[in-house]
Order: sequence, then C-alpha cells, then structure tokens
Amino acid sequence: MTLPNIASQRGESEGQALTRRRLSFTRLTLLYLRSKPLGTAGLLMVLVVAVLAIFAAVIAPFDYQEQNYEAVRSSPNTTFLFGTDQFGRDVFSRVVYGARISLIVGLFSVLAGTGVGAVIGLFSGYFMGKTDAVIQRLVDMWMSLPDLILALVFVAALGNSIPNIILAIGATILPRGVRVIRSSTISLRESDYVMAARAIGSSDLRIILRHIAPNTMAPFLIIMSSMFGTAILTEAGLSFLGLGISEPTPSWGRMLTGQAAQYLSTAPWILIFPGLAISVTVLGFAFAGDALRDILDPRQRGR
Amino acid sequence: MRTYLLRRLALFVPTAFGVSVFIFLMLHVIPGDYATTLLLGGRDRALVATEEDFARVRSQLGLDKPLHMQYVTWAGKLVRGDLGISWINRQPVLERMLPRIAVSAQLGLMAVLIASIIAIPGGVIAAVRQDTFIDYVLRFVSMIFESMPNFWIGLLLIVGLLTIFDWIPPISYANLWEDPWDNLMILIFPAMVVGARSSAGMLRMTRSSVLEALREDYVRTAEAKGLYRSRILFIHVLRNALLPVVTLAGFEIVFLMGGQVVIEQVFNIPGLGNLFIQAVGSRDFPVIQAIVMFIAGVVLVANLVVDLMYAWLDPRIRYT
Repeated sequence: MTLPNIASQRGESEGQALTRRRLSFTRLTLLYLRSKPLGTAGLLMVLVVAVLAIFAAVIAPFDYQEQNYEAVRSSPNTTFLFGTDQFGRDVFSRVVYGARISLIVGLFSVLAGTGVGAVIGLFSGYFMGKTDAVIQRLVDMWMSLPDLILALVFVAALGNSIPNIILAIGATILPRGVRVIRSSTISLRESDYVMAARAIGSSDLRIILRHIAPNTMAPFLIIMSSMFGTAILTEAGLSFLGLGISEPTPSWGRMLTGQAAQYLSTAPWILIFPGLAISVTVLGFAFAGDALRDILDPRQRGR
Repeated sequence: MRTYLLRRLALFVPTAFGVSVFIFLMLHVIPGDYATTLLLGGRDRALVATEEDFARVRSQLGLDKPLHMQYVTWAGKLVRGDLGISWINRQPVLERMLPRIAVSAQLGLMAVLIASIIAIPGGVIAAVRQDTFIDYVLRFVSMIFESMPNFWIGLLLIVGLLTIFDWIPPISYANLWEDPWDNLMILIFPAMVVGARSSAGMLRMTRSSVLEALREDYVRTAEAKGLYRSRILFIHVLRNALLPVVTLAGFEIVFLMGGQVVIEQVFNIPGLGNLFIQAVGSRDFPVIQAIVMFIAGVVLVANLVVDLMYAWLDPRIRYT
C-alpha cells in the first residue's frame, strides 16, 4: 500500500499518482477493483455478456433457429428459461447468440471509429493551422446529424450486411474520437518533452508516434469505453427498425421488432428478455467506463 | 456582440453548404447505382431489364450527367424549395414531408418540454443534496434510463398502458386542429418516452453545472451576508448555472430527433421519422436526401440559435 501514501504526501489523488507513475496493468486493475465497486460490477456485467457471446454454442440449450412447434409462445419454464417466441424458438438461446452480434458490432465499430478518429485527431491537433480548421469544420458538419440518422443513411447507401453496419456505426463514433484526441494532442504538443524532442531534431512523425500518441492512451480508452454502449444501442435501433442485422441471425434489437410487438400482452417475455439484455450490457459499459474515467482522468470526477 | 453575430451567421452558410455536399456525395457515391436499385430492387438483372432500360432510367433521372452537375441541379432546386419527386409514388417530396413535419415538430416540442420539466428540477435537487441518498437515486435512475433502448421503453409503456388502462396505440392519427384532445392523447406517451430518455443527460449536466456555481465566491459572500438559502439558490446560483444547460438543450435536439425516428415507429405516428424509415426501406433516394437535409438544417439552426442565445443571456462572454 505504498501508492496512496506517496500520493497523499504529494497532495495528489491516487489516479494522478497513477498516471504520473504509469503503473503496470496489474496494479491499475487492482486499484480499479479496490476503489470502484460500481465499476467492478459493470465490468462483471460486461464479462458475463462476453462469456455468453464466446461460448454461445455451449451455453445455449437450443439452436437459435430451432422451432419447437409443440411449445409456441410458451411461458418461461425449466426447459425454456426465458420462454419461447411466436415460432417456438427458445428466447434464452436467442438472447445468448444475440450477445455475439451486439459485441462484435460494438467492438469493431468502436475500434474503427475511435481508431480512425484518433489518427485524424493526432494529426489535426499536432499540425494545427489550416488543416486543423478544415477538419474541425468537417467534424462539425458530421456531428450535425443524429447518430441513428447518419447510420441509416449509410445503410441506405451501402445495404445492411454486418460489415456495412459496423461501418455505419463506426462513422457515427468517428467525429467524437477526433475531438477528444485532438484536444489532448494540443495540450501535449506544448509539453517540455515534445519541445526537447523537437530540439534534438526528431521528425514530426516520430514525435507524434513516440511521444504524443502513447500519452493519449487514457482519453482514448475513456472514449472507447463510453462509446461502446452507444454503439450497441445504435445497432439495436437499426435492427429494431428492420434495417440492421437481418434474420435469421439473432440480434437483440431485431428480436423486438415487427410481429413480436403483437404479443405484448399475451407473451411479454418475448420482448422483456432481449430488451433487458441490451440494457444490462449498455449499463455495464457505462459503469465500467465511468470508473475508468475517474481513475485515468481525476479532473472529470463527479460529472 | 454585433461582430460576433455577423461572424456566427457567416459561418452558417458554408456549414450548410458543406452539409449538403456531404449528404449528396454519401448517397451518390455508392456501389452500383440508382438505376439498378430502382429497376431491379435486388432481382436478377437479365430477366427484368435490358441495357436500354438502364440508359433510359439514368437519363430520366439525370444520372448520366457528371456528378458536380447533378449536385448543382439538386442544390439549385433545393434553394428554390423544390425537393424533387419521390421515386416510389411520384408525389412531390415536399408535399409528402409538410404534414409530417408538423407532427414531428409537435412531438419534439412536447418531448423537450417534458425533458426540461424532469431534468432541471431533478438536477438542481441532486446538486443541492450532493452525495446524499436522493442524489445517488437520481443519478442512478438517469444512468439506467440512458442504458435502455428507447423503443424498448416505448414497448414496455404500451404493455403497461394496455394492462392497466386497456389503452392501445390508435391506428389512425388525429389532427391537432381538428381534434386537439385525441391528438394530445396520441402524442403524450411517445413524447414521454423521448423526453424521459433525453432528460437523463440533461439532469447530469444541470447537476454538475449547479455544483460548479455553488462553489463560486459570490455564493460564499451571499451566505456570509446571511441571505436565505432559497434566495441564494434562485437568484445567485440558478441564473449562472442554467446557462450551460441551454447549450446542452441545443445538442439535445440532435439526439432527440434520432430518438423520435424510432419512437414514431413504435407508436405508429405519421411523422417525418416514419416517412424516413419507409424511404430508407425502399431506397427512395430523393426522399432520404430531402429529409436528411431538412434534419441537418434544423440542427444547424438550433445550434445557431443556442449560440446567439448564449451570447445574449450571458453578457460576461465576449466573443472576439
């Protein structure tokens, strides 16, 4: 327990001490688990969903397409944990397989969106000037469209295969990645070690890659974790509108659409469980992301 | 102030132009082309249409001209209020949009109102009672609300209304001017869903903004003078704290319009979002293009108004 002591002697919070000393991944994890119960709960929720997604074939008692004609719209029981839908398909198995789509689409769209956004943000923030001004105006325009509308335009133009949906959702995340990484790049480029690197004649590219990029890791992780939930919600919205992932692939949003709504009062479990799955996953990411932000960027605490 | 106003207005024009180019390009630089979509809709090419058919459709739609010429034609018509003709039923796009804009605008306004009614008092209470039970509850509930997909909240609300009041979303829509009561009854529930969900972010923003204002020196001075807490809160804190909330309300409109698209679908409301989904489903590009441009326009105007209001409300801010 030397860390908090040093931190308090210097009048710093644990998080500040942490970013200053750049502790190992293990210690960061330990600090996270010890000081952030809600964040840990969020992490657990995400982990459970990830386990469901990875081991779907083992965990799900039925195939997601298997129709049990003798048990159509059966209420939850020991065979069908979450009941069955209007085609007699096991809702539990479909929710388990649905985790795959949500996490795959979420992960890749967040990686693509924040990744490309970060690269643009790094260059835009480092070089400033005219390029930066133009890029920032473009980002403004990009952000003047609501996420779902932008994603729908992409889907209308490209079609709704899974890679296209990842592209569409990634596109909604991209401008935020640019904003966040750009602003931390701007503050880093004035720092002493960047000046020093420039003085010994390092090239711009080397400064960006070796000195600035590693130090934008914290905001990068924060934006990634906070965008993950948004991405999952956008995917669910697209699929719900019938313009996202198409049948028979089970997607949580898709399970709530169309005919399912007719069974609102007679078979509510068809609607309740997929919606619950979306909410729990998004909430898990929100808790985990907030805790991560508190630790990596203590100034933002309590916002 | 006047220079700021002029500069801000001057910025609006290139932004609007940029957005229109952006939207146009996105819908025109696509694999395959309009004519294919229109003639075949996914069917096998050779069976349905010949090469001449494709050429004819392309020239009818003006798709054989170079891209920049197509843009100029479209933008020129757009400026004059001609939004083109729907490919699906050959109606003028504007004619199809107008009645729906009124519906969506009403729904949107009701939602913003509901969001503010929940978020502003909620945020103030959470801030004044910081780190107490009520603060935690409010923040926790707002986080949960933000995590639930809005269409799911809508569906659950319908289940609730159905079981308790035997209420189902009406099949036909009642006009505000002909049947105001029915109209209100139809729109109030979707507005509640959209509004409640938007209130989550607004609540947290109000809270942190009030917290910041509470730590200001002038609040300490007011306390030292022995003013009543309520007077400090309403006169000193809120007037300063609610400024950023105004800005957020502007951004909230962006978010709200996305949410509305889905909710109109859930509650079967013949709004703009409903038309948009139909258009995307049938790849009716003139309609998609017009609606997206309209939404972007509303967002840009909303941002402009918020910026100007901000400058007008807060004389401390000097824009140079």
